[in-house]
Amino acid sequence: MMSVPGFNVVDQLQALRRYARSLARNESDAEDLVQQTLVQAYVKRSTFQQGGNLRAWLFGILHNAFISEWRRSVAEARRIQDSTDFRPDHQSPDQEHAVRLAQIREAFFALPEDQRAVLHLVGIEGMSYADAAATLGIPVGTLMSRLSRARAALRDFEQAPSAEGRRIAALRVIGGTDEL
Amino acid sequence: MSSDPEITDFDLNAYVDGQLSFARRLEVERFLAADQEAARRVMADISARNDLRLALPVPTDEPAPKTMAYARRLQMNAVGARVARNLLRAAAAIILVLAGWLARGEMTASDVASGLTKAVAPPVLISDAVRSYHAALLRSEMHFAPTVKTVDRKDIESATHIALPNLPDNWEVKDIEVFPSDEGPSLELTLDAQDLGTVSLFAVRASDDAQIAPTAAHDGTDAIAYWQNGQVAYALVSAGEREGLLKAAQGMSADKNKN
Repeated sequence: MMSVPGFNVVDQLQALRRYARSLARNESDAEDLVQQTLVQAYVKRSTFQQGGNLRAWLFGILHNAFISEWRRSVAEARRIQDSTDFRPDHQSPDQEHAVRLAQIREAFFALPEDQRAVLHLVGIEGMSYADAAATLGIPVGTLMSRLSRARAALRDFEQAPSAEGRRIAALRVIGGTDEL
Repeated sequence: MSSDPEITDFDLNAYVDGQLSFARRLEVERFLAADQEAARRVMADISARNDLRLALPVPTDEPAPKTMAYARRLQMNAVGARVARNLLRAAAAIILVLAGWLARGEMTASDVASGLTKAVAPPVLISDAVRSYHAALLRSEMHFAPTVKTVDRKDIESATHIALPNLPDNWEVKDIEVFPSDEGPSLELTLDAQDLGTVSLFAVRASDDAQIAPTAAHDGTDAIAYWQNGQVAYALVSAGEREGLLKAAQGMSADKNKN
């Protein structure tokens, strides 16, 4: 009675919040983005196919909300500046590893958003290529190309010997194009 | 980058992501054993993926109360949407069947009213209708939907081609839902009807033009009052007393006739 089988939205909330954090790069903006997603999902809830993949459906709505509204917002520039404000709850006792996690997070946040989205869905969320491509509304070939570029950028970033080198590597990533 | 023409960039990524078949995985591993550069790259990608998962963990803090409320509203209304759609079909089907009987002169309105609660009404449709009404009740108890302060009749009428009857002055609209269907859109209003409690008003376009005077029926303790005005069929459902509901239906249909 309380819920349609397979439509447990509350169970998806933490995954949605994590995806929103990867896109918005700021916890309070991410929370707003999730709320906006849930409102839009409410409006278009009749488009959900019964028995369909609820997480992919919600992620798709969140992604579109981010692309269509958040990206254009004037605050985006500020968010990039503030991206290092984000700190995960997880604290590693191993200082060296903690530094490494901070670095990889920094490198990840420096990726263009389309590569960030792909790497999140596939690498962090563990979605199949087909589901991730459907969520983003792109062909699998485009998905794979973005995934390769995102991984190459992370490798470059890590191989850069100094903080300055990493900054340059990150800038190169930001300037990258999305041609197949 | 690969010296083996059979192993592609796709394979290396799919290896990292665990999306290869067992057989293909073995082939990739054989290839990696022979190609140190590719192996280093794959290990770096796997390590980056694992660290990214640690660096961006599933949030352990609670979602904001507002986030939770929105999530619950979406979850609850998926139920409401599905059951209410069934009810709208049920209400439409009942009314169309009744209209047919009346048109053929086989039954009087009072026959229909008493018949509704007997064997003539399809029991599945009635139980759907009642379930749906209770879903609306539940939704209204959740307090997620704010009271709808103004009902823009023109908007609703132009979107659905369904004329809203005038509601009693002291009734409040709590929620409005519009459902597409093959027969055209249908409308569900959840109303706070004061003494009558929570009342649902269903309106749907009928395929036959007919006039049916407000007629009372019931199912268990749930009261139903329905009528048809031209091409639109209406049904009120509530847990309140049947007399009051029928009176409300009469008022609403009389008002409509004046329009």
